[in-house]
Amino acid sequence: MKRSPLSPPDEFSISPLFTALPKLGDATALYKFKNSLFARLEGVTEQREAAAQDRSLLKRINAEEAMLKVVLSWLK
Amino acid sequence: MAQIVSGYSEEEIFSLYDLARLSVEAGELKRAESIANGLSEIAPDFAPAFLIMAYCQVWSKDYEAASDSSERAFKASPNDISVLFFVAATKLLVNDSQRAGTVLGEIGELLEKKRDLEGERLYKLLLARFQMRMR
Repeated sequence: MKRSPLSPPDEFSISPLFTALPKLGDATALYKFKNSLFARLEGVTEQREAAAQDRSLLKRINAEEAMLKVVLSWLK
Repeated sequence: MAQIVSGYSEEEIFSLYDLARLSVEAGELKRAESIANGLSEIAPDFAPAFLIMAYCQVWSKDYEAASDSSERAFKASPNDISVLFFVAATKLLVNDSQRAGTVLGEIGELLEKKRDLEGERLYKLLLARFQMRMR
């Protein structure tokens, strides 16, 4: 079937975009930061109450907390 | 280096980004997106985090969001060829051929100055898609 030239690309043609993601850092280095990342998680959880009235700060805290939980779960 | 608002070191930021990139490679897009979202808050000028977000948004077919994320990366790093690839690709997805064409021109100029086989392959792919749109 002929595709319309205006239709979005199929997944095969999107995947080469991965090669454009820059190679930076080394995820295994996170092991040495495990304790400090855990301390940061405790810190942002404590900040949540103080930030209850500040929506932009709360957004940052939520995003950082979600990231730290995911990373610490990966480090287990 | 990007502006960091939360006291993370550059090594921590880069390591977190590498985990997000590895997650993309492994197809763990939820994990990648969560890390990239966190990075975009703690280091708002760190363009690669927005590229991870754009990549995940392309896969979930949220092309407008992917285009916006690419533009945020462009705002942080307008001369970075990685960013330009994402801007061109996502502009094609939202049918903004004019912007895609302009950015593809910039990529072509950068590739003339520095040899990059993977970059040239992706450039040809995007250029072919652009030319198809213009027919």
